[in-house]
Amino acid sequence: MSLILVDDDPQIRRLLGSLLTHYGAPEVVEAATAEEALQHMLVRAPTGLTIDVELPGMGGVELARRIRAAPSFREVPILVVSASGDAQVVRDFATLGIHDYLRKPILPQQAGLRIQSFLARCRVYARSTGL
Amino acid sequence: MAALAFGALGVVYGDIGTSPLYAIKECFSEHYGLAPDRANVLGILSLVFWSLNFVVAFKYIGLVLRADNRGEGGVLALLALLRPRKNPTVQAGLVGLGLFGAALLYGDGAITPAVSVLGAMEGLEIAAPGLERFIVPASCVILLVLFSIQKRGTATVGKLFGPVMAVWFVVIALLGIRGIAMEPAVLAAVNPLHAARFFLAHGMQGYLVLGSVVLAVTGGEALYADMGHFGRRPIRIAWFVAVLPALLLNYFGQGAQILRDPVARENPFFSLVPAELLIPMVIVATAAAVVASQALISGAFSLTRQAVQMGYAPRMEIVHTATTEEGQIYIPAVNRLLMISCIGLVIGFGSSSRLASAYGIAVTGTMLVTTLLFHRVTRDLWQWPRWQCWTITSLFLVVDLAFLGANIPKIFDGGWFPLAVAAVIFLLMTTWKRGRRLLYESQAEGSIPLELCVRGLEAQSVARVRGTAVFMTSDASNTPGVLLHHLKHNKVLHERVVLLSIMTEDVPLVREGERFEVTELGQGFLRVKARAGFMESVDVPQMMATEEFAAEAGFKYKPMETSFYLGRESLRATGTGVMARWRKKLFILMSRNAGSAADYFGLPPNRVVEMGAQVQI
Repeated sequence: MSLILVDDDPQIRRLLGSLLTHYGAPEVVEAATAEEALQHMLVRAPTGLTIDVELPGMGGVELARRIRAAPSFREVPILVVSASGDAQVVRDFATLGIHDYLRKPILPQQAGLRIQSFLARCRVYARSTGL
Repeated sequence: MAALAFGALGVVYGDIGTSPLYAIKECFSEHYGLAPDRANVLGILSLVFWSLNFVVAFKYIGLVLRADNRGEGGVLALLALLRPRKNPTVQAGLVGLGLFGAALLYGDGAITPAVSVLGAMEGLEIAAPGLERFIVPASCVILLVLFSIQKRGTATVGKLFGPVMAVWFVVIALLGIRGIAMEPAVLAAVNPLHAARFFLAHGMQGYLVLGSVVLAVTGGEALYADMGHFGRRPIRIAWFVAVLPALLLNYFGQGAQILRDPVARENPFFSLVPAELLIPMVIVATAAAVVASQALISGAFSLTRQAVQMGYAPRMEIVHTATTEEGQIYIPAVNRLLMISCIGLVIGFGSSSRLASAYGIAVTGTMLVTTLLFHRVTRDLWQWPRWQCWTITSLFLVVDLAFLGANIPKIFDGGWFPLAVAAVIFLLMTTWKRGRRLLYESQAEGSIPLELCVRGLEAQSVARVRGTAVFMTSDASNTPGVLLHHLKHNKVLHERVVLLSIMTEDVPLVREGERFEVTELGQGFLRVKARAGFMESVDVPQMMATEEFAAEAGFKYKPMETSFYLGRESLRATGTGVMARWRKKLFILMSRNAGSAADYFGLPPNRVVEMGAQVQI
């Protein structure tokens, strides 16, 4: 089971990465841009993604759209990470089917249960797809 | 009947009616980390649907409401319904249980107004994001105003309660229909399989969510306690015709909204409201929250009066704010304490979500106590077959314990507050009862039976003066210490001496013609036992001015020719009474701060004589 964490902010990557590992994700691959994330997806099939809304170049929503366009990734769980005022973007994501969203700033105590619930979903997905 | 049902909407359903403001929101809060997906939404809605139907409709409306003590409900009334048990341990256990249940109600009592007013004002987060910082101060101001108008009585405002809640239920039902229309698939949650699947999928975390699901049914206990104001039928009609449908529509609408828009999980109630109606909705919600708070404040007043009259709390100043309506009372001390706690909670917790994490543990405790006492009622009073009682009780217990268990983690999250309040109140109530008992015993030791005193007076001539002396005494068989004291030092008596005992009965109101029991003892002595129901406030002069009293006692009360004698004991904790020394000191402190008997009995100040004595307990 491996997860792809997409965020252009290295601090968020470190924090979210350590939280995911802390709650039991065996492998977390980091990507700073949407393009980098897509490259990773070519070589390994992820069992889940966390996607930042505001990415340089191709945005988070566009990335999610492309992922969903690929038949093999139609069901992969996605956790959206958004800034506090981005309700509309989260709604755009929702039309593509996401698991849940986290609001920045990410506070480890509050985010913990949401991350656990996301990982649980990733595990179910991994089992169902045999990944 | 329709008018009564309408009225019941205001008082009885205020609490449960405002739960949609925070119940679903809390289920999807960070406490549980539930994703706003289809399975979770349907699971939560299914739990809410079945909890409302089982706990409120089946348990409270269907069964518990039948257990009334001459029309009055609530955990203290339930306690009063049970005949004293032969086994003293069982009896003490039952009484302790009932008292603890009542004490728990105070604990949550302070939270209800705080959480509902905050929940309503938080609509501002969505309606006007710039005004967020005013949520806490504005909530404090609303509560401050609400508590300060209590002393003027709520009869006039009370007339608005029914209409306000009627508007509220119509509005939340319409909002719910709007939500459901956009996502009708949400109605599938009626199927309990969704709840079962939810538990299977989430395990322990899923179970703990019950701690927030319970917020949808916390009003059940209040509904039972408020039964006296309206009676069973109007409450039932209002529930099935208006309240239940409106609540279910709204909860399902909130679920539908979350399915369509995951961001709605942050405030599903206000997310249902069209943008242009947000501000009016905040106002309507605040009005409904005020009604819910008022119901609770009135409930606390009437619970306190019941406790005073059953001997579990010291006398307190009780103000009647309306001459016509019996239920309209105001207790300054309780009002002050509730106001301080409520505003303290709003400031200390700062959001309805953080308060909601402290809320529910106390009321689930009271619900459990209600189940246990109700079991005794079905066995002893109604004499249902054993299997029937146990089937019902087991069903209730499974649900009560499930909710209580899910609430346990809340203790560390602020739930300690209502529990601490309950523990303190329980300690005060039991200390007061026990202390009074010790005081009574210690006084009884040194006193003379009345008959002996009267015969003694026959033997020696004591000067008698015109008029009537009324000695207030709790012990009808012995001569009050004040009388002996008076005789010893003043060496004179009035020509008519009335020894008046006020007995508080385990019924809310005493029937006409059953109030007085008069015994003539000779030498102008009358022993009068006057009965009062636990819902009545005692006004001795008014009682004595009735024709019933004149007929029973054989004389007419003349205010200007009557003096009231009261004993004022100064207590010392040095006696042999069996109670921990610190509790004796606590009792003495409570006694010193208790309202004066003269005020409590409504005695005219210029006709009262108080005589002091020192007593060891």
